[in-house]
Amino acid sequence: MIELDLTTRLASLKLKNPVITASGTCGYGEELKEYLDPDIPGAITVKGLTIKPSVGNPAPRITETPAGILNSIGLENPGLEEFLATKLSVIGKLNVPVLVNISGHSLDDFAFLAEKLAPYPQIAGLEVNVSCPNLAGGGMAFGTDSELVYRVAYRVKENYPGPVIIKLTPNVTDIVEMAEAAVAGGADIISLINTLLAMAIDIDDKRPLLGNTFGGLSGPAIKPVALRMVYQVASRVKIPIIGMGGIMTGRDAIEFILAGASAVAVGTATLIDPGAVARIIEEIKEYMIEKEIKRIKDLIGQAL
Amino acid sequence: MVIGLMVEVKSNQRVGNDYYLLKIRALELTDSIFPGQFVHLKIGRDNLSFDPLLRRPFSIHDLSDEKDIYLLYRVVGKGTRILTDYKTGDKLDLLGPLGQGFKLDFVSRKILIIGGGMGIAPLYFLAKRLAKQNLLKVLIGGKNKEEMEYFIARFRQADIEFAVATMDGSAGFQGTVVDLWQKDNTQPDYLFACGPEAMLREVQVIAQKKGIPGQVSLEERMACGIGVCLSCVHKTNKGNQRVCKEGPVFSLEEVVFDD
Repeated sequence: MIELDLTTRLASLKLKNPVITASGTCGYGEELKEYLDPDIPGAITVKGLTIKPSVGNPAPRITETPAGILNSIGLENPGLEEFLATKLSVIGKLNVPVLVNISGHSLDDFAFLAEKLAPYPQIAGLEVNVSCPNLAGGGMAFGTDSELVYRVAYRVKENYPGPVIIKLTPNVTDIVEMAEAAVAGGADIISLINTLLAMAIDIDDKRPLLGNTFGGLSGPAIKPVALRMVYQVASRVKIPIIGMGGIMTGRDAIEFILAGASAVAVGTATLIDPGAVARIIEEIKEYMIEKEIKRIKDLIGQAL
Repeated sequence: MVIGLMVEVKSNQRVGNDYYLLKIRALELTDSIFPGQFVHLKIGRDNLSFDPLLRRPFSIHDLSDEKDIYLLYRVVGKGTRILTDYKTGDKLDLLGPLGQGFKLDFVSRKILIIGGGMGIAPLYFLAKRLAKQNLLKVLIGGKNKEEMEYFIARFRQADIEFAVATMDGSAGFQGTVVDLWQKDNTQPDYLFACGPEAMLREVQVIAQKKGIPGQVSLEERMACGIGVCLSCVHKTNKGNQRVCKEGPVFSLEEVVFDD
């Protein structure tokens, strides 16, 4: 029996294993505790935060498509003030690094959130969402313009001393251009991909199915696209990557790591199997034993 | 903690034109189940089946004397269509019981239950529990006799006083179940309701006018069922609440229905 080393590094962050919970699929960590021991994930990314509280989008907010789900939650969250008052203490109790996902409508919003979250050691790093398809007047607009990606990264770095992750949208022509802009702006880590902008139509009502018309597609349906983008970015960019998009099993996670991801995030899988993160970690271990791989780090980018 | 519990299908039969009745054995759960709660089933031969991908929520319809769980469902899409193929002895991946059920810690002697369509399914379980405390009337409504036949038989069998409304008049009163309530003029001092949102909205308006407190069970498209994804939220006077977590049962007064 070989001793397995699952530790991985994301810039200055040390993770005990490479599997992270994706934002919006684990609440603030405690919501899952009945199903997933919060000490198990390599890190936890909490629900997207905006300066002001947001009630999110009208119902229906979710529908299923072949091997995928389409959501238009719309970043429902309690806002910065309430987050600091009630959620900070919750995440402070967690024993794994907690990443806070932030969203904004302007460059100043991102800078403001970064500055306000800077004093708290409970937060291990920021994941900057320049890619939410469900936020009117912001979100994805930033992630589709490389100049704006650069500026968001720059402004957040300017105001936040810890590691900064830029989460990229796949809804662009050239993902590498966006990744390079994030690096130029000072990003420490890149995460990709967010959901693909998509829709479904109810043929009985003859209307778009989601209350918000468009939503973000996630799940196994998008995995090949996500993998291709991680591979392209890893080929060109030197900073660490968190790969995500339809990871359901340990084998899926291994694919992303081979494509160049230093860690992976699991989202949709948790909505079906709340213990998915723990299962995926076990499946990664099984693969390592089978292939006699001692260190997960040795697999990063092996397919490049 | 009841994750990934594999439960056994005891039977899965068509009952009437529209409905299927699934009986499952999950003795680990039955003692903690309350009327109004639901279970979340992963449907598909492989537990990691990608199509359908999400679990499907089903309200608890009844418990058998042997503590088996009955779920009533209608074929509305891919998930429920595949569910009809399950045979006695097959296994299903179940998460539950989930959500807050009906609260029964109130003092009332004149309870009215109003159900529309599929919303009658959880109310049957509730009615059986309440019947033991007497003084109860149930009003149920649907499109036509075919849709209502199954429920009519069940309530009759359970010896629960009930009345039926159908839109086409093929069984009982012609009109909606809310029309029936108005005509019937039952004056409850507490009520429970579950059904289409349009029906619940009317029930709320009338109850407010008459000053009758109560509880409603809501339905929303759901993904995780455990409160993390915020897909199934519904407006209330306390802001958005999760149907899967704070609900599906809410007090009649707190729910905000859009026009």
